[in-house]
Amino acid sequence: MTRRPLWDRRRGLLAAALAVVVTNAAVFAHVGWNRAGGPVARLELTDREIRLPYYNPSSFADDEDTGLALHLDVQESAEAWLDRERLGELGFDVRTDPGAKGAPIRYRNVLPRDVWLVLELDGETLRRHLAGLAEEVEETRRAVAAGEQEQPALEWAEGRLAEARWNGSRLFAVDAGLDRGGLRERYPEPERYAVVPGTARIWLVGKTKDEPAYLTGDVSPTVTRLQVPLRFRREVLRAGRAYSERETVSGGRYPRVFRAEVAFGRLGEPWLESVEALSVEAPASDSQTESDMPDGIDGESGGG
Amino acid sequence: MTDPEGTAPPVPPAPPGEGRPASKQEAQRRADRVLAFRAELRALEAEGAGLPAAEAERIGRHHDSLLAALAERFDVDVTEGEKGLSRGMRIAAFLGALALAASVVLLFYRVWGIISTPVQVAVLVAAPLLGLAATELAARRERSGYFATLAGLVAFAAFVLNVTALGEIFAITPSDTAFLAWAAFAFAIAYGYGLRVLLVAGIASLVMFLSARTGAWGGWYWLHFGERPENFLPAGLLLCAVPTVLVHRRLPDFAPLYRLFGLLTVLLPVLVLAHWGAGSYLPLRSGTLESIYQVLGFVLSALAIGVGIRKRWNEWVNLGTVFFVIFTWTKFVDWFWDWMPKYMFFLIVAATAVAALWVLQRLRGLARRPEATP
Repeated sequence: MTRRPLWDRRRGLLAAALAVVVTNAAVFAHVGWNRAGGPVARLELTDREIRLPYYNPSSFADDEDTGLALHLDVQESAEAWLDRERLGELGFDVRTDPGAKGAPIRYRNVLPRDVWLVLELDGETLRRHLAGLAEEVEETRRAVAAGEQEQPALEWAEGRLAEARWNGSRLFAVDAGLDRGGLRERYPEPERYAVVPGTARIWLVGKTKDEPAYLTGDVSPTVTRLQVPLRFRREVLRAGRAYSERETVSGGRYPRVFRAEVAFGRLGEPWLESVEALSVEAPASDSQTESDMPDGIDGESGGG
Repeated sequence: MTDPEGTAPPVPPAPPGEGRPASKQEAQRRADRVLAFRAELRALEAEGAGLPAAEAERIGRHHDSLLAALAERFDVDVTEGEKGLSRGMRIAAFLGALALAASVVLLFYRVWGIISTPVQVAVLVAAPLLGLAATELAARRERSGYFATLAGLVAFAAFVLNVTALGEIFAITPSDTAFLAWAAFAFAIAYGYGLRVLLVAGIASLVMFLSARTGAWGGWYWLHFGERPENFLPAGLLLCAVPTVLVHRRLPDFAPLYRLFGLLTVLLPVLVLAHWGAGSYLPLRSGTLESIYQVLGFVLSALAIGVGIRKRWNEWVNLGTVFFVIFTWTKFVDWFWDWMPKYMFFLIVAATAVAALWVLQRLRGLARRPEATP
């Protein structure tokens, strides 16, 4: 009697089909687990934090790709919170002193590590960021008055402040860690904070005449792209067109054209819950920080 | 594999010491030996040293029915003309598969923005399953395997699209286990239908998974595994060992592919690191690392040539030679390009090529073993 081969066409076909079924089942289980129990966080974002597809009259949706995607714009805080100690907590080997002779080789091209990131919407980090820019404006104004700098420098500083205040993203990466549960406990507000998967990088800043060598890094979320489901397509297209055709009001401020609720599940992966294209009228305030701005700083050139 | 299961005419009894061909590749080798035998017999007859007529006729009749049976059962080529056409068919099948796979992927991206999520999911899940069905149908209808290869590659591309697009639709954090799923799929088809192209797809996916996992075990985010070529070395060594552990009796042509891609997966990272020491895990100066990997590259490629000659692994001899030459020439560029007159540089390159030819010729002479006479 002929021995049946260990692997034949029928088994190959069944095994391949099983691979498809099992893989898709795993994907759906993953998605289901992420969304089970409802959102862990829900952030209301505008076109400040979400980059809309650019409207090109000749081919808005690329003819070869009809999919529309929104991109989260996550800012990095100017505050250097990623120091050697924090980087060590994130799993990087930071035992070698940054000033040691072997440090440049030791910290050369270190690969990123996966971490959990905390995203903060319209919170204290933004306030401090704006206050820092406002202080820069004041310093530049004093320098111009003293003849140490030219007027364009002041205009540039004021433009930066206005851009950050009215148009820039209010979403900042403010913390990172390896324990997602611990981060959620530290940042419990579901409408202001989202804990998401991300990566952290480390690099060595060499010694200068004013400062010794030190370690620093940055973080970025892993998923920033949100595919637009069919039911939101029309709104996004309307908003995209309005976004491309919008003009500034006073002080370099653009009107808001889009609002979206982005939910985050227990695995930190996002999805769109609602989308609304706004009618382009006189811009309403969309940031509580507007009322927090120091008096006299309004982002206009020469203003006081 | 492509056996019509019970409808093939009986193959003549196998000579003592030789079994019935278990695969198309074995059958083709047998057919090639018969054709070579016939050509040699004609030459001997012309020289007056042929077989007695009765015996020659008996052998001729035996070979006629053997070739007919092999062609019927395995669709082998029995003439040089058929062989040439088969080569063309293989190229056409491969290019056709690539084009069809690209078309399927682009078609999906063309329409996915205007269909709802449930429809997107249904299309993505159904596509690789339909591709599998097409592969099975092609294998049943046509024994050569070319159409099955085409359908199998398209099924693989559809499965890659399935996983990738679902990841985009649901904003799933990228994972290296996708490579494992793709590898499992490709291997299942490759071994089930005897398709070498799918084996290569499976090997490539497995290499990616193992390399990504090697990086991830070091604590790094897996997506950056390519920034450390050393991540590929364990995968390469594993592939080289596969034919030793798994004897491919039914599919003997698979073993050389494992060895070829295993060696490639080892030599290519070494070549990269020989010019980019900063990409190494080792905490040494870039220049030192580049020197180390250059020496290693020479040693490994020479070793591959030596082992390939000894074991009669042509793929190792050829690949080892190619990389030895690449390592030599890139070293020449480092040493000579900036200061040497260009005509002299290329003269030296040509001289090394001639030297390599001479060495290989000597090695070929050593590799020849006298055939035992009956």
